Amino acid sequence: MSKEVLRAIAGIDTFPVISLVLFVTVFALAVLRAFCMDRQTVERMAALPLHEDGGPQGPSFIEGASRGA
Amino acid sequence: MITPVAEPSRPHAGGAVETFAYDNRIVRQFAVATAVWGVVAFIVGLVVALKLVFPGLLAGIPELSYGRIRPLHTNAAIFAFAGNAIFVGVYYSLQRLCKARMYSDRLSALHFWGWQLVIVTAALTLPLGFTTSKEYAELEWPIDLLITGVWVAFGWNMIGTILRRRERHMYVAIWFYLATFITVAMLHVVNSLELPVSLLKSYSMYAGVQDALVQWWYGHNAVAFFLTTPFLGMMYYFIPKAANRPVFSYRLSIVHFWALIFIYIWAGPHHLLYTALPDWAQSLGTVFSVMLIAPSWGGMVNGLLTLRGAWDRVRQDPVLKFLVVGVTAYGMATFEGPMLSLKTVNGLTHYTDYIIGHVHLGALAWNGGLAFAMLYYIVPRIYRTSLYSVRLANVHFWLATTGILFYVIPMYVGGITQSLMWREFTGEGLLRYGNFLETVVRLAPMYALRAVGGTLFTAGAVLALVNLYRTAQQGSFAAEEEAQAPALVREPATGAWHRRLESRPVQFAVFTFVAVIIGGVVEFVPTFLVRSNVPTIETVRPYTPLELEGRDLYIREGCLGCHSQMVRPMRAETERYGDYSKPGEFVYDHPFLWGSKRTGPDLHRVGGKYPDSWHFVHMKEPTATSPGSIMPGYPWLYERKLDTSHIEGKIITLRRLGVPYPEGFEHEARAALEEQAARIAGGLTSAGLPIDPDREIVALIAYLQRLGTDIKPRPSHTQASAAGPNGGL
Repeated sequence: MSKEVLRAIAGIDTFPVISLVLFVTVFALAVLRAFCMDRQTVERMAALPLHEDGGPQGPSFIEGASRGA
Repeated sequence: MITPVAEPSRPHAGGAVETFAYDNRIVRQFAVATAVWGVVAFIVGLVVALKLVFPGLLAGIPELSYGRIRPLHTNAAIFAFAGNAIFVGVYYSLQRLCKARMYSDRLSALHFWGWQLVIVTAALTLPLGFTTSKEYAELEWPIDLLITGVWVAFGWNMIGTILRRRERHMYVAIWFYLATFITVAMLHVVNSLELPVSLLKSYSMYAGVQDALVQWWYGHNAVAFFLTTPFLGMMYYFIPKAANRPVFSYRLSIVHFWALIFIYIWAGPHHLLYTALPDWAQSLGTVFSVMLIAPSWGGMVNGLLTLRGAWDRVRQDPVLKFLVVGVTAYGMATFEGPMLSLKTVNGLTHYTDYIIGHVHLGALAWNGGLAFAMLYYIVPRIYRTSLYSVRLANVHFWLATTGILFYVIPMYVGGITQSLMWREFTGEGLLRYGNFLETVVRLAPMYALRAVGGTLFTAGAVLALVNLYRTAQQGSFAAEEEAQAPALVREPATGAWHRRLESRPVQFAVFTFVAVIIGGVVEFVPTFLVRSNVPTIETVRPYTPLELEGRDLYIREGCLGCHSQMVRPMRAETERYGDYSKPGEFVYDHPFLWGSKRTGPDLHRVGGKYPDSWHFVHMKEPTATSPGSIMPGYPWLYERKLDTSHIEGKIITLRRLGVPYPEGFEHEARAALEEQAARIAGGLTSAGLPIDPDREIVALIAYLQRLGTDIKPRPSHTQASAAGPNGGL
């Protein structure tokens, strides 16, 4: 029953189409950009958490702690 | 092409080296809250699970009844445990990724104490029965406002920190944090639109089908943007840190991010498959849900491959163990989710305990795994020591992992078993298990096993609490962790648009927000059109004042935690319950009460199925009418007087929301209510069950007898039916 009513709304089909086009476009752009980034930038970005203190890893007790007994 | 002259400048590393301090105090506060609330959430969950095994457990105490503490458990697990864990991760990693202290200590404190206040008010109001009944959004309107304020404080603090950063680029984890903040804000506001009746009572702005659409758009995306994206941000930070190597593929993480935020926001309607939703919305949801596998698995693979070359350490390091199990469970749950959205699979698993198994795989292994990994990583560091006992952490790991298996597998088996029993027909075309109770009794061993799993998991969490406490005891807390980094200097913007965007958090946030809004709006246009296009059914009338009060009792007691009100158009269901549910039957339901789980039978067509006396006896002591039932009794409904002090306000509020109560009806409502109550109580008394008409049970019976009767002939055998159908309406 609801199907008939919803189908009666003018242009109801356009909404899923709009969403699909939107999604595909933005996603494609993001993917394209991701794969066009130069290697140096990618490596620098990927290493950000490891160089957060502007140098090598913190004090040695940290390493000991994360390696377990 | 943008010229350097026309473009405003952007931050650039390379200024004088500055010394500053990371705020570890706020990290510690949230870490303590995570560990403590986590254990509380698990214990409440255990009690809920045990109530299904031992229905007499804590029976007779309204505040501890199943229907009221189940939402307490879900809210505690999601907002207290996972919520605080998110903030631990964000406050720890954001400062370090931005090379900056949090923007404002005052906002940090406001955020922390405000969030704990939300949790405490939830822990008080939910057992007291103050609930909107919308799953994972049960808290009443004043708490909703409080959440909004606290969330704004969080976002303000986060964006402020990003603006003051000393690192030009925004690491991918920060993108996930920003998307979390923006989307959760939108979801919370849209789904919580409600009109207050009193300080702790409100009615949803939406009704029936529309309310269900909005609620599950929220429910689905809350899982995505509260339980997934922030934890992915944490994954992209803590796995490289713990493994001491960069993320496997940074490109993949970008694709992962964009695919997730776009797909998730559209996949909401799949939660309502096979209900009264239009086909196109169901199909759209299904397609997007299936597409979700790709980015989710991309993310999982990215996380696991980051450990390449470090797998030997996984055997020794509890942090990595929890991370690996967590990420693997994420992969399993995100494969399972899209599969569950397929119509045939959904028809089999919806309303069963399979879904409970599915969500616990995600909550315990993915959210729990990441949360505990993070705590084991952070606490020794901020206390400048090593973990008190790695062995204890390993015991925790194995208790948690076996606990999850003992939880999830029985739920899968039980869910499928029950669903197959619901739909089994004899050769003569009759339901083989016509009595719903037969399917419940069969599940008893599974419920017991699940409780064992929950016990193991909780025991592990208690060990973690002890371990972390002893770690803190043996160390010295570094509240202010000194760090140095060069200040950013402004430089003209150049480079590709995506890189420019990454280094501009405000623009980035705006872009994400716009993207998500567009996605949401496109999905919402049909949702708003639905309201005026749901076919009205001539015979569907608003609830009488007494039925309305009864409905509010149904909400207060959390009946929808076990009973759905949605008969699906399948033969097994129409045979068992009656005619399938039509969208037009719910047009006056603020909020909708379709439910999501059938521990007990569907109630949409229960009206007129039994006489009032049956409900009277059953609600007091369910086993009296249904031997073997695991439903708790509700003796307090027979003692408490119905609170009708807000009936006028309720009528006025609902009229404002579009329910066609005649002008001035609020003045007649009380008389109509009393008249209908007297009729029902009179019928019961003449059936040998004396009851005062002003007791709560009378209102609840009125509501139950009304359910689903609008489109079928009025029942002739309810004790009260002889005196007129609509109680004055």
